[in-house]
Amino acid sequence: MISRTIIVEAEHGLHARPVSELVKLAKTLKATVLLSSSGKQVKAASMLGILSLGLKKGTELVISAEGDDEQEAVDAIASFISSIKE
Amino acid sequence: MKRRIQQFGRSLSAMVMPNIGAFIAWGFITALFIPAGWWPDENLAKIGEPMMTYLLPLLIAFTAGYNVYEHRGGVIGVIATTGVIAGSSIPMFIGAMILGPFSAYCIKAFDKTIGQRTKAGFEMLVNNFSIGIIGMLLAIAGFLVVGGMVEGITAVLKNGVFLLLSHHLLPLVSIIVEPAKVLFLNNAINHGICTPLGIQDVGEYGKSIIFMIESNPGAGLGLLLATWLFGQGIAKQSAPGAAIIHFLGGIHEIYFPYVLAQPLLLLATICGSASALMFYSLADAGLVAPASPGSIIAYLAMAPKGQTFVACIGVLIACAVSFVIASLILRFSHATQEEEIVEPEPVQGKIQKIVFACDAGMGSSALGATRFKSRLIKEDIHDIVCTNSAIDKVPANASVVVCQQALAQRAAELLPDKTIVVIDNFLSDARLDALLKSIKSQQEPFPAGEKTGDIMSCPPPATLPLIQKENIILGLKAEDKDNAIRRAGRLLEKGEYVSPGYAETMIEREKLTTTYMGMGLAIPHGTSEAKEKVRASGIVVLQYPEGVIFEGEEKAHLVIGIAGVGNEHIDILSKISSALDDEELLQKLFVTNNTDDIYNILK
Repeated sequence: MISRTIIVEAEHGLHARPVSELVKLAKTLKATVLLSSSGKQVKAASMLGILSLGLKKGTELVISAEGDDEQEAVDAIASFISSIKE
Repeated sequence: MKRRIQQFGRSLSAMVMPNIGAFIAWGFITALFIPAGWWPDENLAKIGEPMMTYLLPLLIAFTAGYNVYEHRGGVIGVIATTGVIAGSSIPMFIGAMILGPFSAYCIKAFDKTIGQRTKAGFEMLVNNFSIGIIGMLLAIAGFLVVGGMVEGITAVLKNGVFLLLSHHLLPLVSIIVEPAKVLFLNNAINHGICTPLGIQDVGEYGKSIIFMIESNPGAGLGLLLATWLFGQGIAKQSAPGAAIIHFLGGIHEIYFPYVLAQPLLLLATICGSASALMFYSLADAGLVAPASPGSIIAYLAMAPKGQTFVACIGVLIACAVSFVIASLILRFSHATQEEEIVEPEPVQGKIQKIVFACDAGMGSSALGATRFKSRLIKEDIHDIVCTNSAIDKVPANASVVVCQQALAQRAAELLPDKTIVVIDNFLSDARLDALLKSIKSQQEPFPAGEKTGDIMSCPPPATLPLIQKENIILGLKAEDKDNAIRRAGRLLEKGEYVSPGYAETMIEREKLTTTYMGMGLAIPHGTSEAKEKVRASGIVVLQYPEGVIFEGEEKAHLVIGIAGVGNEHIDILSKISSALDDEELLQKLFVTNNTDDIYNILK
């Protein structure tokens, strides 16, 4: 199990569009990726789940992955979220 | 460039014109009570001097400073100007017009740099001492510098006049004298040159044309008449009164603020006086003594026997020429301003929220908002929100932003996508009138159409709840995706959460990336550009037991249309997601006949 913490920097937070792309990305990964924030944990492959975290700019997010290529998975998810600027 | 000049002109006008009442008060006191006045009273006449020396320049300084940085700017403006007044022997209007804004900018810059670093609790101390100390320094600097400057400029002007007179270029003297008058530099010229030379002439010829240079009331009258007919706002309304004080009372100073507010008008007075002087030269006219005060009565009284008529003609010439030129100038600037008024009218969508913005968000903007709101109520318009805020905190759902021209640049930078109305005066301005007009025309009912239907008939309630039972529609027959989205959009428009057109942006948004979330749930919403159309946050729910095809094979059984004000969008998504993150629950909601089931989950 690998974990990594990042801060959401997207100006308008993680709204539906980036989240749906994130979900697409998560589905391509072998490892099971989990996202947790403010005490709530959800699957990265669930759009409903991610949206329910209400990730706004400045929110702290913990990305964890378990399974094959878990390191690459965490890195991929982390860099995708960090690349969201709008 | 033209804009800058216009803005500069407007700021001059904005510092002088609001105080015209004080000028008129002074004008009356002087016209009435000075020894040569209509009702001489040595005692009451004493009021005049402190007014001219202190009251009027300080009022201008305060207004000028206020326009830049509200009360704080005004306070430091008067502090600095007092220094200049103390150091000068002539009324310091120009000093006020320069130092007022300058000191306000100084304290503004100071506040910006120091503001962030002030320790909590020390703000009040720093605030007051910064004005105190910087104000003091500016006052001292002004005091020391101004005296020398005034002397220097006066010397130059005196030499200029002397040169022109000795070369027999009398009419050209107006080019120096008229501006000098307006800056109160004429006394030195009079005492230093005109009077001695004039007296010499009288000794030789019994009269002197030199006494007619400064006291001809015709030019000022022409200017004021033009302002009365073609001016705007305060200037226009106060001009007749000023004309009486000027022409009949002989207090020329009353027209100076009109010139200071629009310096281009100097052309009018210069040409008017010069024309009269040319005529007088040709007619070999003159006065036997200086006409003081410069009223028409005193002026004609000083004409030599039999030459009263000639003197009169000169006054008429000055008046006519000055009037024509001033009218042209005023109409020209009026016309260019009118063009601008027309611009802000096409506001996209219905005007729902007008935000008056100023620097701090407290003083002038609150005044403007309250005032405009009462104007709206007078016109029986109750559903438009009229509020105020600091320029950098304007809410995202403002339809129109109103600010003073000093902030126009900043407003355009901070709010590139908002319609901005730029005005001089928060209380009454032609552009606010135009805004009111366009609001009134928007109140007319829209033609009933497929999209808007009966949206415009009732005003929206003060706060809209996020979800309402009437916005949950059950048992819809399957239709295609775009229709479903449009249906949701229309429901949002009907509920007045958004303005018309939002539905189409929802379809656009769907084309960017699907809003289908999986598990039979779709959350269509508008594009980020459509945020302006969002009036209040809200959601509507469409239930399709048979499902609407969204992505490939995926069917949405609940289509939830969303409108989010600003960043509330994310919160709404979060709320919906949390509430519905349960597959069993969703299956139930997809087919239920009971609106309450859905309502209770989402409320």
